[in-house]
Amino acid sequence: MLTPELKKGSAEFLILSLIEHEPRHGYELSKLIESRSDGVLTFHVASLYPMLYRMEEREWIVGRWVEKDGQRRRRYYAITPAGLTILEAQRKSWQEFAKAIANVSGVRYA
Amino acid sequence: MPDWRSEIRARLANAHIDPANEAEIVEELAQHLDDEFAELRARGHDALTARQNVLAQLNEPDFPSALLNRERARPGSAPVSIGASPTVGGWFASVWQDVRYGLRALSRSPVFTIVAVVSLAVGIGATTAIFGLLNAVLLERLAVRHPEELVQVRRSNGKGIVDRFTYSDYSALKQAPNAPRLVATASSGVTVMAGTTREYPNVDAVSGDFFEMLGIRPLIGRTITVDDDRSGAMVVVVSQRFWERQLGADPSALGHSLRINDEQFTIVGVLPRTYRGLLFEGTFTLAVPISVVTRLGMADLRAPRPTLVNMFARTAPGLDAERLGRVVDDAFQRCCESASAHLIAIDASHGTTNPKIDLRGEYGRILTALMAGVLLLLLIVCANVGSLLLARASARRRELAVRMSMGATRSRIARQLLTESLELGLAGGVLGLVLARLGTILLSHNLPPVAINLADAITLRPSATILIFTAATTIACTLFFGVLPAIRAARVDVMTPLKDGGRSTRGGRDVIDRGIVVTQVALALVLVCAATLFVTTLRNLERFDEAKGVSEVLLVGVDTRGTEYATRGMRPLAPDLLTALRGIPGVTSAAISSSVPVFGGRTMRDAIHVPGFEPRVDEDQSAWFAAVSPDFFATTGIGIERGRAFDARDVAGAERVAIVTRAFVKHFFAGRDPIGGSIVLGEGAEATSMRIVGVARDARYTDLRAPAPELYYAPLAQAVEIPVLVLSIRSRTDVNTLAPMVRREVERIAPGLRVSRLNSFEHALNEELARERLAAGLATLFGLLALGLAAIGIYGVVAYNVARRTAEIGVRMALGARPADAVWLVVRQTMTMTAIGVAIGAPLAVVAARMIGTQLYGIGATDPRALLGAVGILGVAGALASVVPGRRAANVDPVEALRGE
Repeated sequence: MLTPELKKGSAEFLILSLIEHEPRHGYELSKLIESRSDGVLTFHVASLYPMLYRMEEREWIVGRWVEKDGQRRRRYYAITPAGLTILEAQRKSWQEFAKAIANVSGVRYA
Repeated sequence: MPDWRSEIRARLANAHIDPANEAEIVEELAQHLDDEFAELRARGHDALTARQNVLAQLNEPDFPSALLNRERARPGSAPVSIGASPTVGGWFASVWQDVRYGLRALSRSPVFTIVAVVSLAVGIGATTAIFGLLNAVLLERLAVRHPEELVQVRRSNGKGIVDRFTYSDYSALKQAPNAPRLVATASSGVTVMAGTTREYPNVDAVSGDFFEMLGIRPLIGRTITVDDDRSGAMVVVVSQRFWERQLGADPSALGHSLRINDEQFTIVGVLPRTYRGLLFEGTFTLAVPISVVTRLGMADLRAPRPTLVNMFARTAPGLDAERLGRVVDDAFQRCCESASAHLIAIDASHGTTNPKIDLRGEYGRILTALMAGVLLLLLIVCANVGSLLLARASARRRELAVRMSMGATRSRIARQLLTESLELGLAGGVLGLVLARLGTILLSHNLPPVAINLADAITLRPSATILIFTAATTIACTLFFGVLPAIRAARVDVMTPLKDGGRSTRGGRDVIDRGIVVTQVALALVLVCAATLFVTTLRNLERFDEAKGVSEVLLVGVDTRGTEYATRGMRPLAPDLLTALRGIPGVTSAAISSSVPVFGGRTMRDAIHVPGFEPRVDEDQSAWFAAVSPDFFATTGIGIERGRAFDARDVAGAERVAIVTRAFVKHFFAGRDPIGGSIVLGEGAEATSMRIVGVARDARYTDLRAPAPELYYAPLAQAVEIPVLVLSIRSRTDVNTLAPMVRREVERIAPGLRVSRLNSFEHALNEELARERLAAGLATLFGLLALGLAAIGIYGVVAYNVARRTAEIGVRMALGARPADAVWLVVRQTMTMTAIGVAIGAPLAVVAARMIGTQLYGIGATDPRALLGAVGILGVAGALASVVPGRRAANVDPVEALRGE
């Protein structure tokens, strides 16, 4: 199981990755993280949204209310140019980190 | 579907999130929980379990606080307040929020803000300026150590109170067992030569421990000491002003000598500016040891008619003024002449006044009246600002309702409005202080001559007392005008303004508005009535009709004391002096006399006997008299009604003659012809008789308010030598340009003679009336301001009413009413408010008038003319205030008005 620190450190990276190509709303994000990590990573309302707001405050992402026909309006989060820069940097350092771990421990990274 | 929103809100309650943001957060999170719940149900969970699982998600410990970041993230979110904050930091933050919000709200309506601040500033400024004067006259203590302990010893002998004692009494009292420590001071006018200029200040001759007892520290050098007194040292300490004026503020002046009345004194010290002597309105200039009085031409301390001294002492714990009085009285009864006189000790902490002329009392009364007036004015100002705030609160009902619907509590709204009021008050107070400063400077230029030293005191000192007073006044005003609007606004009902778009905003406000206007009218009536009385008083006193053509007469006071003429006498010089003065181009006549009405001089009273006059029992027959040269009546313009004026025949040695005034005739010659009658001076063998040769018009010499005195004139040549004389010079040219020539002629004929005063007769009259002019001027100013504010109040209510009733007026017009009927609607409202105001104000005005009754002259406090005049003035102001609304009402177009509905 993941330690909270590790989870927290990775969460922002995961969210940025998920909205890299299309805006998504909060529930969608939480479900995507949960399903793609096979249930290893879960974010509840109480931790997900404060994180989203924090990222919005840092201007990595921007939230916008979107109304679609026949649905309630929802808040969609899209990545900003600043968010993209952060995403690239994090992606690079995670890759280096994973490679280093693999080299040292012999764990094969998928 | 469970109600997630209330669950979320409950968890956010303490996070103080801006309501708009909060709504969005609640919506977003609730949707998430909806989806979660739906999913769990779809997976087969029962509703209860699903609900519990979903809610569990909300229960992370840092959930609400983590959300706070979002609050900051929102740019431009208005800080609308909700709920009361539980923490101190939060409280400060919310107050700060109120302050910023208030400033923004005020800056959004600049006209309202400027009107409110300026009227407050005028009110607070005027109040502060008057208080500054009042403080200087009535409240401020002497600049000595522990002034509250200082008392003056006086003697009461049943008939009256005197404050001067012989030096022997002082010495005996001082040495009496158990007597408190006493210091003595005597005063006299002297001539001081400093370089080539001559000055005529008063010198204080003080006992050796005088300054030490008062705790006066010298600015430089030292004060007079016991050793100086004992050894009769010829030393002098001077005031800081004298040091700056005559000695160039040069520290090396110590040790130099100063010529006082032709004696050399060594300067040993300079006393600070704050020490102004122990007299109220005093001007300290010089002090010498009391043992050297004879060197200054003052009577010897041990002579049969010695120089008299004032005595001061200090109270101590267990020895209050009353006890101290008893102690010195005991000693006095044992040591000294114990006639029927008793000693008392009176408070001298504010400086002493002459027991006969209570200057402080006179000024105190008038200043108290003015203070009351200016407070009324301030009340009117507050009422005005209050009604402005009420109107504004109505206009803002929608805004307030919105804020309340978003969760702001009523107390929070009230606090917000009160904060705005405080901001207004503060701005008004600060600006008021500036105005007060200007006002004080202006006032000090218009103060009567005797109060000039006070002016010095009030303009020089930025006093903490004044600042505290202003601050207190400002806060009181704010509470007064701010609380009611705040309470009313907080009582706003949330729904109505939102539903009707904030259009109809009346309701109970009508009554309050009119109440305020009625109050303003009532208070304005009081002020206008008082102003009328003061102005009438000034007019009556200015109508000084005993002397003709006062603007053409120059008056010059001369004083022989301290000069060679004190012994030689002035009379031998008089003919030459008058001839020289008549020689000045433009001068038509010149005279010399012991005194001149209003201008003053030496007023004398003699015991007389008028043959044929039957005195009442116990009446001691006496009359005022003045010694005058032949041309006196023509020069001053005091006419001779019957008989003749003095002329060249009336010299020393010739038959003694007299001229009497009409008041004298009325008293002593009731029904008889005075011409040829006589006045007898003295008794028995020493009795001399004067034949009455003429009757002069009445003239008031000292007090313009008192009836003309019973007075007789004697020729200067036949009178005793008088040390203080007045030259009168009538000229066809502007008398003010004569001064240098007059001084030159006086110096030529009588070198070294002291010219103590030089003024036109007109100026002397104006000076005499300075107090009345001050009162009349300020009362008029206050009255006009009050009138203006009341008129604005009336205008506001009536104009609003016309605007509100436009539709109604339109309907009436459509149904055949004429424009005059519409005007009548307006006029009726104005008249009703004015009438109620007058009805309330009239009794108040009468009470106020009674209170200033003693200040009035020639008009009774309850003279109906003053009240009716004031009512008339208010009526006119009310009519003027309703002109514009009236025309608007008359011009209402029925079609337009109805379309607006």
